Order: sequence, then C-alpha cells, then structure tokens
Amino acid sequence: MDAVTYPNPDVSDFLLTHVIPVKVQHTDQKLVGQFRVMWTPTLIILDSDGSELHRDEGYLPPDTLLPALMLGIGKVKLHAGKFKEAITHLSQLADKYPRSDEAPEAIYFAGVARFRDTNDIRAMRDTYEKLSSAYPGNSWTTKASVYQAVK
Amino acid sequence: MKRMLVLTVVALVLVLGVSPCKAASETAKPVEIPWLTSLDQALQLAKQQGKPVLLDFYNPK
Repeated sequence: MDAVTYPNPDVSDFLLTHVIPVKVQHTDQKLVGQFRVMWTPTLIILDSDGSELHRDEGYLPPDTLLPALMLGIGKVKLHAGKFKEAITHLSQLADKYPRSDEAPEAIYFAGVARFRDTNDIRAMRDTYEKLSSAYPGNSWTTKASVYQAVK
Repeated sequence: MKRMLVLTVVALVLVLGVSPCKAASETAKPVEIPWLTSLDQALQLAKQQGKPVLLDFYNPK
C-alpha cells in the first residue's frame, strides 16, 4: 500500500479530503484485539463514534481502494441519517467505477438511502430495475429482487 | 514561420513562466497524507471535521 497505492495522487488527494487517516502497526495488541484484525493490510472505515461500517482485507491498488473508500463513506453517511449525502457518495461510486466490485452494493444502498429519505418503497423497486439491467446475476441484484413487484 | 513559433514559445516561457513539462510534473505530485497514530485523536478530529476515520492496520516489514 505504501509503495504503490498511497503515493498515487488521486488516492492521497482523496484521503486528505474525505477521511481522517490513521495507521496502526500489527503489533498494537489493544487495537488489533478490539477490531479482531487477523491479517494485514486491513482497512476499516469508522464513523466519528468509532463504530465500524466497512472493512477490506488484503492489498488494494488505487483503482480498487477508491471505490472501497467511497462505499465506506457512503455507509457512514447512511447510518448517520444523512441520506442525501449518502446518495451522492454512492451514486458517484457507481458512475465512476461501474466495473468495481463495490458498484452494485453502492447502487443497492443508494436505493436504501432514497427509501429512508422519502419513505417511498418504489425507490427499492427502481433500484432492483437498475441492478437487474446493469448487473444481472449479482448478489445485490438478488437481494433487491424482493422489491420487483412493488407498485 | 517556424522561427516565429519558436520565438513565441520562448517569449511565453520567459514572460508567463509557462512550462508544459513543469505543469505535468506538478499535477502528478502526490499530496502528503497526514497519517495519525492515535485512534482517540483521530476520532476527536473526525467529530470536529465531520469526516469518517480510515484505520489502516499494517505490517511495516
């Protein structure tokens, strides 16, 4: 991560703008135990109360780290009840990194944020339609399929 | 014609400090990441700045 991913200008600029970055050595038994870390690198996104909302294990190149961080930040906004901000972050991820593993999950949770913001369950039906069109067979499409019959 | 073009480019570099090579290298320069080592300090800053915390567990070897 230190050799390739973090020196990438897009990554360093993103970190500086969007998160408070902390490095913890694998020998820190207190935090390793608290977060049940069993491998390095392990990257965890926490909200400002210290609650874990997203985790990735293993090396991530720049184009993989950025959507992972965007998904984590979107989840933080969603859990904080900042639904419009969550929609913005998650939609940007899906638009900018449509081939990433995180894109279908981002579309799903953008739909959840829309539903929580409007209390209109049709947001989830629309989410299913978007997912089934762009990501047929994906596990997040399957999760959204329960809403396909919503009128 | 060619000489005029060269003179124009030289004049631009001298007067405006314009240098395509310099500009390209500057845009590619990474920003230094202000890594913290204290989670407590990070959470305090996260509250102040309304940002999430990225916790990176790493092995320096």
